Amino acid sequence: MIIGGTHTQALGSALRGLDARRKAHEHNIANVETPNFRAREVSFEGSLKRAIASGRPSTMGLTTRRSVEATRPDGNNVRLDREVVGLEQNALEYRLMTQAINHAYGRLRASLGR
Amino acid sequence: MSGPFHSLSIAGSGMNVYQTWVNAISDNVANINNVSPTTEPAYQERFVIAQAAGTQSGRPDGVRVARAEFGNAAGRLVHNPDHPYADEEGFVRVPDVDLTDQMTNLMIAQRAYQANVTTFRTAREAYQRALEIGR
Amino acid sequence: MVSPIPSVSMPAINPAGLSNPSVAKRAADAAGTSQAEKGGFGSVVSSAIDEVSQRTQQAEHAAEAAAVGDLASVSDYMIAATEAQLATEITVAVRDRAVSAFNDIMRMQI
Repeated sequence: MIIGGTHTQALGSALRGLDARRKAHEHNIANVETPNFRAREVSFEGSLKRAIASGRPSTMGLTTRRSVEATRPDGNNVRLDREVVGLEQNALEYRLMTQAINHAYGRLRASLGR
Repeated sequence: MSGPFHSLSIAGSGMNVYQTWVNAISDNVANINNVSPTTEPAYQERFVIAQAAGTQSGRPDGVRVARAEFGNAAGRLVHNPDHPYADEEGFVRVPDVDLTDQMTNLMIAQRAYQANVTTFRTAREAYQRALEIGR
Repeated sequence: MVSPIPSVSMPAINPAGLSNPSVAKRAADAAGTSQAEKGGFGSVVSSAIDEVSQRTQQAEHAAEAAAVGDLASVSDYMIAATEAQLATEITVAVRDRAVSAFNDIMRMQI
């Protein structure tokens, strides 16, 4: 039994997605000079939206696909500027989600009188 | 998908475009003294064509490099009969690139790049402050 | 000086009661009907519980919108969350007052 209910499960699933995306950004940045390397992109928001609507947010699925961005002569298509900006956004999004989870538990705690 | 932190992507797009422009200008300046025989084209000035992004979706998305363009391949004809590439009349081809122009563009590009860095930092700080509301 | 809460007591004491408005509202309405005038303490508790429920839903809705990438403004969520938190704290204070008043009343009967 999850005390926080489906709401915290939904936010927890989002954190799982953001975590995977952060790792993809890191992997892409590490491979910016690797010949024939295609950048990886993680998506989960659509799946999460459907999972929340179905009432089972923990069934959210993660998809990783290869970027269709144009390649440079060495076959690599990592856009360093986009990956770095992506990491910054990811950090802020992660913080927002952890705040939201803490707020949810905080409301429950307050109703317990603490 | 825009997301609540979209200003960072927009500023990032600006940094990318102006960095690309600076690279093109550096290329022009590095090749400004290339000499070619009149039987071959001169070094062509690199231009970066920027375009607003997101105009189709209606949602502002910053800027992007639409394409690169190249200047006059004919360059300028310079009379230099002692040069190994000189033709029968003593002419060689040099690039049609003006150094003053390039330096002016460099200053513009650098300033624009800096402005986008400032936008990025300011937006990031605003977002971080917003995440502290209610604390 | 606070006596232990008797087991035959208001359902609003139960934390679940706070997030289950109908149960808490029945208790509040019961408290309200025992007042001489309409709009007494019971209705204060009742409307406070409504506030919490509404604001909590708004905060949760905004948080889930952010989770799926539909939130345009961070401050929208942060303000909704702060409002929900404060509404919760206010209602808990009101509830605690109600419990304490109930105990005082119970002790008054000979």
